[in-house]
Amino acid sequence: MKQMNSQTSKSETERYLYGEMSDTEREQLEEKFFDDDEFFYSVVGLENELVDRYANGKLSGAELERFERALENAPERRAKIANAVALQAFIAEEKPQTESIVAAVQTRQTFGQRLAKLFSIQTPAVGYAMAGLFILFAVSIVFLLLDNRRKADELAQLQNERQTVFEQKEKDLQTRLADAQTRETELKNQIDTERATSGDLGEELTRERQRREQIQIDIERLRRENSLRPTPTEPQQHAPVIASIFLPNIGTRGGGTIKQNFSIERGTKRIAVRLALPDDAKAGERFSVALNEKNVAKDLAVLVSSGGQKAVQLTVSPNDLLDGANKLTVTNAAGAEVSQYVFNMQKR
Amino acid sequence: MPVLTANSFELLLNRLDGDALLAAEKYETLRLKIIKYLVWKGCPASQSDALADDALDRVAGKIAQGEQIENLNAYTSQVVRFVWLEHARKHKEIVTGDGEMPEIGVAPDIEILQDPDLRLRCLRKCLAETVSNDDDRMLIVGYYDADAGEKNKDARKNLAEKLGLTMTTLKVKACRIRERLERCINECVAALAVTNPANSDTLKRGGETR
Repeated sequence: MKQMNSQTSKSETERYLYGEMSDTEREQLEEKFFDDDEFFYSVVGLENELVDRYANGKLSGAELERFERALENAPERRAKIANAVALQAFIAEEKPQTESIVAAVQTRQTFGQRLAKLFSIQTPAVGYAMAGLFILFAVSIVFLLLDNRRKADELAQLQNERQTVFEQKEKDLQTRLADAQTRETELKNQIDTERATSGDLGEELTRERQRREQIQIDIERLRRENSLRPTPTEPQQHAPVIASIFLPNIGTRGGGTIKQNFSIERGTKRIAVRLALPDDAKAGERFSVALNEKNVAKDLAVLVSSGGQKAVQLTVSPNDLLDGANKLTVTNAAGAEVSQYVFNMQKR
Repeated sequence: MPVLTANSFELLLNRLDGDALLAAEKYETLRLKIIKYLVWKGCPASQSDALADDALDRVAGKIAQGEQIENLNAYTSQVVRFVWLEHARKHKEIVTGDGEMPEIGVAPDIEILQDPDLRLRCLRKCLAETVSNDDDRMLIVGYYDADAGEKNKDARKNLAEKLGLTMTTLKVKACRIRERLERCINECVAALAVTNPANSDTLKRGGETR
């Protein structure tokens, strides 16, 4: 319904809205409402405009007459007018700057009306004088208006500049504020984190302090011990910590008489002793060993070498050994003596 | 009120479209157009549905009677107009006891303007209820800012650009929002008139009932 937007169609629609159409014309037009939404809303839109203009006192002359005549036959439009007044009041509230513009326009109209009234009471002589004055006045007005406009432009420019400076400053401050807020948040998070972990840190610190004190004590002790230790005057010969001896089986149960001679250095901590068992000793048997009639080991397993030789191994303290003849006795689980070893030990 | 039969309803649907789904869709579209027209003519929203159904039932009845209808939309528009006038006449008979067509004479001065606060209160309430979208609110304020005068044309152009609409779409949208808003305001005023009888006189003269 694009043709409805033309001037002819607008006037046709106005005739419809003003109730100036015949029934047939009106029916034909209303039929289009059901075919074309856009057309329907163009009619509604035009009615809204007329109603708004009427409500704002902007209809005049023949247009006003037509509108008011139509109002007699379309009373529902009164509600629309009332709504338009409310809507304009609301818009005025929403847009106070628009209101000030309207007020300025109204002021100018009032002044124009006063001027017209002044001319309406003139005589011919006064009329020429007034006309001259009016021209002078008009020129002055034009000059003032131009000057006013220039000043207004300058003012607007200054305001713009001031606004720009203000906006820049505000932007800078906003940036700084944002930075400060970010930093504050970071610090707060850090403080929170530190608060949350301060208990653990405290404990750890205490432990560290105790450890440090212990180390200091140890150092002091070491220093003290170091100061007490005699300074070696000659190179010291260190004794082996462990010595090993092997006592072969002499082949007879009940006591061998072959003596072997060993010597150990003083300072030897332990002596590993390997005792060869008789050939009839069984691999799964368990044995006990006594040194100089004193039990020094029990429940010893049999060790079998790659050559098939069986033995038991134990360690003894050098303190248990006599400086001289010593006797080792091996007994089985039943307590029967399996083998005996006699040897000489010399402690140097 | 005509009685709608299954047969007449089916005949109407067939007339709208051979496909059942499309026919149902077209039926609903036509019904909404009728409601929109009735509300625009001043029919209270609470009665527009019933009147639209009445009109469609009559159209369906005529089809079932074998009436030759060339243009269904045009025929429906005539029926709707008749239904609306009939309803308005009955209503006027109830209110004034006058059986003539609804042509109520009024003085050119609009008495309802004497109580603009009532409508303004309703408008604020309705704006909050029916125009909650910020864009729509900006549209209704910007589009109908009549005080801007000639500048309003440019303002509307700017508004259309800002909202990404063509001028025609902007116009249709503004009309639709205003229609919705006005319907709400009229109902609100009617409700306030009930609670405050002092307003009821104003309401009667306000054209809510025709």
